[in-house]
Amino acid sequence: MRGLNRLFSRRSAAVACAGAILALGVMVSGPAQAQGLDKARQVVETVAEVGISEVVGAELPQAEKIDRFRDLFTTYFDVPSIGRFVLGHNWRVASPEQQERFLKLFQEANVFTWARRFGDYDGQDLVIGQATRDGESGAFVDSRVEQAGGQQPIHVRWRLRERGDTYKVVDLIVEGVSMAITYRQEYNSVIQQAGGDISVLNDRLASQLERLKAEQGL
Amino acid sequence: MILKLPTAASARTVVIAFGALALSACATAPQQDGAPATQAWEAQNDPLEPLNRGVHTFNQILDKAVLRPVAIGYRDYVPGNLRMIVRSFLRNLKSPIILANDLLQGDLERAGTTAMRIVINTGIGMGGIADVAADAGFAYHDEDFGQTLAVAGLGGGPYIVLPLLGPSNVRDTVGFVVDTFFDPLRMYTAAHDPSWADTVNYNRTGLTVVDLRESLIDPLDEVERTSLDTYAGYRSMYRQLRAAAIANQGSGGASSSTSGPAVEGSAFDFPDAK
Repeated sequence: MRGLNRLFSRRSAAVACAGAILALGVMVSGPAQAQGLDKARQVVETVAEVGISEVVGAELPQAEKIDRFRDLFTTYFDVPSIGRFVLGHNWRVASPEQQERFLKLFQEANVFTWARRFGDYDGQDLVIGQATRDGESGAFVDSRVEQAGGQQPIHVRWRLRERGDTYKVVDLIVEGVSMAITYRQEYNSVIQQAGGDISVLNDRLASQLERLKAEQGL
Repeated sequence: MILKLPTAASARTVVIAFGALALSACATAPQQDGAPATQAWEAQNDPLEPLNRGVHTFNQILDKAVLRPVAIGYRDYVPGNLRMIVRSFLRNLKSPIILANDLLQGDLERAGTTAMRIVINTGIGMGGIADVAADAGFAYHDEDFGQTLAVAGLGGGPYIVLPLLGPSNVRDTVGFVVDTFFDPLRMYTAAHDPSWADTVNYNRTGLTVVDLRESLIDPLDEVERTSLDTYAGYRSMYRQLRAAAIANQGSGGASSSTSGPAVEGSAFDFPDAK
């Protein structure tokens, strides 16, 4: 909470004004929307809590952590939607088999990319901030990763979409860089360089996944 | 680690760049109304891609051979306190340019912050070697003429990978040259040509490059390890980071919730999905 204090003391006036306006906005827009935002924020809190206490911060073998992380990732992130977004217009060109293979590889490459960073976790705090609306059925939740040694905190913005009676995460925007957009532009470039062949992207994802597993002795 | 920046070559860049800038002046940020805008935004605006990819490869080789090893050595052998002093000092030298751009953007609040930083850090911070202003509530922020042009409504124009300097676009290249030209220390040394001019300018440039590369060791290592196409990855990230910087978001910015997203949230909705 140290970060929050600092934020408030430094920008007290601006924050107070913004807070008042936002509070007013929430009251005017009614309880349903406020409830939605609460739900979205709750999802992020759950991911952070479970992720830290039961995955990265837990005393477990790496393979067990990875299994738990995969559960967390596929429960609270809408991986199929992210995958489709990332593939962009190439999704429609791909055969059902290619689509399925891509989604599987994309999910696993993500799991093992994150897994490589588990060891870096050193008690940093994730401070969950405000939730804001994103169009009709979406929300942004702002958060900050507090770093040790007086370094600037890292801003992470979570993008969520309404799915049934809950919200699921579809993007993480780290210091202004959207992971989904970056993946999308990178993968599209790979496909384009390969003359539109989606199986080339899939093959490269597969070998990346092998490499990530080997690096972690799995 | 010597890079000479303002030369005949950069003057030529200005001329070429201004020509291209005139052409690109109508390019703007995406409108937020559905698919066509998103598609237009996705058009990479990278007509020079084959050339850019070549320069990117050259930069990567140079980085692997020289810049990264130097940055690693700097991190490993120079104590953290000394590196902080170097960073504060370089930032203080640069702050008149930041102040000028704050003012040109009409952002009096941020201009005030930068002005206070100059006064406090040059005085109490002993010529800028200690960032005491940050502790007093005046945190550092960056600003440059490329951002000022963007605030004035100019689009980025075609993507350019500059030799040695990396990702940019036409607008930001112009901005970089303008900032370099109007740098007070550079103007002073150019006008008076003191005997120490070259030593000071080269050392400053060298330290700036090493300090910047050191700060990027971890993120760039991550990109190199995980990206399937580093060229496209850097291009995408450069554009997004600049958009965030122009909106004064991200680190040092008040919040990341002040401006609209580049892609509509509904782009993640697929009603036909199983």
